[in-house]
Amino acid sequence: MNDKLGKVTFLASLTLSLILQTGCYKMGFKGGSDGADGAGAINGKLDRNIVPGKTAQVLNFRAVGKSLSNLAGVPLSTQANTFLNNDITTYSLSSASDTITGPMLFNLAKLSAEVCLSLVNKEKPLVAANRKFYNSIDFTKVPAAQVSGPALDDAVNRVSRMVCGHDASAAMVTSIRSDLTAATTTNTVQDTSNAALMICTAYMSSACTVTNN
Amino acid sequence: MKSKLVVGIVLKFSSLVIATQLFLPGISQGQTLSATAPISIERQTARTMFIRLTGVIPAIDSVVLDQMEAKIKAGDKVGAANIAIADPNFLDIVVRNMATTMSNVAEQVTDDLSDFVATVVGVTRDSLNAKELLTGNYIYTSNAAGLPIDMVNDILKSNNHYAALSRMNSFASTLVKTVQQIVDPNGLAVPHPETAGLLTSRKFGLEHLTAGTNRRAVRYTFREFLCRDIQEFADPAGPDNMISQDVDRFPAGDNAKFQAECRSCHTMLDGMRPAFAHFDFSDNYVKNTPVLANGTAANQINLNPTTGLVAKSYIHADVFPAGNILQNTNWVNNATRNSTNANYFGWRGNTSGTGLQSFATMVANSQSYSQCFTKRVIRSVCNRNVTGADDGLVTTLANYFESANYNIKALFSAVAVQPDCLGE
Repeated sequence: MNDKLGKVTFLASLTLSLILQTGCYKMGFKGGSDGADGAGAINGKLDRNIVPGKTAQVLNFRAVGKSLSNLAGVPLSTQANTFLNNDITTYSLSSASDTITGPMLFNLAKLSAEVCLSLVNKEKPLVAANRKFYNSIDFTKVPAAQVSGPALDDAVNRVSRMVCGHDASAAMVTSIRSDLTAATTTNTVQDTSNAALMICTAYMSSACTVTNN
Repeated sequence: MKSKLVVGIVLKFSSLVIATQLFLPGISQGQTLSATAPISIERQTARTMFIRLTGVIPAIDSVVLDQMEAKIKAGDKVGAANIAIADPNFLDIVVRNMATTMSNVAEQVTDDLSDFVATVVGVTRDSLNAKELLTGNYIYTSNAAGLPIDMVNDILKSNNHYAALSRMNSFASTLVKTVQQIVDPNGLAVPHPETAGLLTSRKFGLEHLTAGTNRRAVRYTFREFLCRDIQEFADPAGPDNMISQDVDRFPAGDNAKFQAECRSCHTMLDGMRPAFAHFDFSDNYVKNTPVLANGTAANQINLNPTTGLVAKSYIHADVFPAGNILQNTNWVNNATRNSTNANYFGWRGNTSGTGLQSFATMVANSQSYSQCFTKRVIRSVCNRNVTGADDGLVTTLANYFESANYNIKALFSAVAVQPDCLGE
């Protein structure tokens, strides 16, 4: 990887991570198990994915790459493998609920972006009916109408089902719509791909993946 | 503003990344779940169960969830668990992690893949009796192409074989059972005369027989296989006749301190350490006194020529010359005397013997062996430590484990379907 690419990648990942921390919060990444190892709640309020009496299992360092690959249905790219190998020690070792850290979330967002990029690149050339996540997205058109319309609902719901195992809530769709509306004001065709990338990355680095119960 | 920025940067970023495909996704996509069909409770349960048993998250439409969902709907949760257990990640991730924490002094899950870990994984994969982990005459090696496989240089005298194996994406399917061997005076691998499963693995030797007095080997045998550390079964009223010369009876000039503190642990450790008196780990490999001659040259062992036992059994003899002097490998288990220890360990069979094999057999036959394994599996699958409130559950599951011929897979299945584990 050349220096220019490294800087761009790092900057993109850093910025994406900042956005996603907001996104994760909106998705309910604010809970903690009250069971595992007596670790107590991370932040008090319980997410729907972490309920009392049920122990949270934080994504283990050995399972990160395989899990993201499974969820997106794509192999890890060379870049994704590099990120994974370089950052492996920042992921949870024990899977206990008190092993969620800032570096872990940062690097999961970075890795997720890479995996999601592979997913978008895979789906974009396919005819809509053959896609798994972005059936309603027209990658040849600008995002404006798609973000405000049912195409976004469909894409978000498909990603939510695949990653979280449940349908997206209306609040979640509204949250993502709001972020994407703000992010796609340049309204180029490339923005449509980026919107798809953002939806995937937001979910892949969310509580659904981190505390995969 | 941040959102606009990231889209702009991702635009450049996305065009530059090379998306070389290194390996294919592990789980096939299913056909039965459409993008809008309701996701059943049974499918959600299947998903949770799969994650708990394999560590990895499946896509909600994966074939394996189709199969598990059908089993659960048919009332066969164990059958569903067995489907998850058939996934390679069960062995490659979950069992490996469990075994790795047992394999090293620091109990770090990130520790190297080793003969110890591979053997636990192999015994699990092959549904062998888990008691053989302490009594078997084998370890597991890999038959994967391209690995360093020289028995002496890559397995007995180094971890090269397993270090290379750990770099494979999936290793469990390549494991093969291999008779234990040991280095002879000529530097060759010969049949091991005194095998005790994991206790005679290279990794156990590296961790617990290096330097010291071999007391650590006793302590960690109890800690890892019976889930009791020394301070938990120490007995201040235990006999002191086996306590060796290197233990000060008047620490800081105070015999009361010895009686109150030192004795309670040493009655256990010194009583049982003769079981390891033929073993040492130096020059990066396990040495055995009947096999190697006395000396410090290559392929020799530092031993007491009078008794034929490892020299480390006799260090610091001047501390208390009237202390016990090892004459043979006769050991005695003093964790039998008080009711707390007797009830916890549930010894079945001899609690004294000669040599390592009888010691390992005693440990494997105890009730606490099956219960300790059960606790470890609960920790692995349910992701929580066992508390006193779980005593009934542990007993029930451990009894089932024993009735299932100590089949580790069966134990994982039984644990995974517990409502407490799945959060139901």
